[in-house]
Amino acid sequence: MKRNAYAIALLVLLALLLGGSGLYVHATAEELRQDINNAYALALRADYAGAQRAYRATVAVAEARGGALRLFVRRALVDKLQETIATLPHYAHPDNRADLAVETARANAQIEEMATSFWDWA
Amino acid sequence: MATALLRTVIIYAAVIAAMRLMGKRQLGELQPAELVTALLVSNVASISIEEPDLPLLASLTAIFLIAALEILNSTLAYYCPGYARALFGRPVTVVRGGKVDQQALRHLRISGADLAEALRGKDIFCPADTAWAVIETNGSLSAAPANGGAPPMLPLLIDGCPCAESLRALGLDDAWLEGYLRAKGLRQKQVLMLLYDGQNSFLAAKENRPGKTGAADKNGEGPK
Repeated sequence: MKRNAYAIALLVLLALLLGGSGLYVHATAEELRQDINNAYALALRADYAGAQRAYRATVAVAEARGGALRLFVRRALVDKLQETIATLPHYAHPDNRADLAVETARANAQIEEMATSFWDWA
Repeated sequence: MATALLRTVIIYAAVIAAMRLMGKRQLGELQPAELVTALLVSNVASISIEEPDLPLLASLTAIFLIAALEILNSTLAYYCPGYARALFGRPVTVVRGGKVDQQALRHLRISGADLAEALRGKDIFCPADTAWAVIETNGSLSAAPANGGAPPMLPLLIDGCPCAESLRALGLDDAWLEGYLRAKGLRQKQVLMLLYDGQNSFLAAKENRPGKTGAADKNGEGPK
């Protein structure tokens, strides 16, 4: 019964693929969260130039990982997160501290939503 | 647009691979479980093509998971005749010796018009001209015309399970079956199929190992 072996191999492959994808989504979410929080910490210390550089680096990371993330989680979640992250460098300015705090919190919430959506049973 | 085209190509290839993996059984028989599988795979594939928001991995995982479950399910049915009966049901005789079994038709919710149509599909225009007609587990009708030739062979034992209805129809019982198998040196579990038409019989024993020929015996005299 070769077909049974194929079926079991397929199930194992799917399990590995799902596990690997879950780890990738989780690791990417963690990396983005850390980058955003580091950039926000620079802004809180009034190092706005450094914060802008750090936010732009995060935008680049989000864009680079976007293609793979769209294979694993809903495209709308990834697009929404990328849009939010793309605005962050423009808020890293002494006049926009409150807005920066709100948008950083929004980005963190969207990262959390994206990460949990992968293993969400609901 | 390019993404939609690429997704369509990937889903198309994935569905072909899944159907190929499930084998000819999936394409030919369409038992209830197989019909469900085909419906689910086609639905998942169409949703995945229509909804670019859905991650491709989720669709591919669903398609291949359904394919793997179908293969394992049919294997379980192969090894457990009881499970197979629960999953697929049993064939039901609706015409026997030219007489329509109306109780069976009521049970199957098949009207007289449906039966007549199915018989016409077999080039039989009157139930009286039918020696035997059976609604198979996949819903199709198999019929043998009563043309004065040899009566149709009925299954007495399939996959080690006796067919009580055929035994009754031929005026036989379990004791007769046991005696017949004892004479052949076999037990019920060892029989792939035993067919009998009242005169002739066909017996195929299960193979011990893949690659070895099973014992098949066509007996012109028929068991006495």
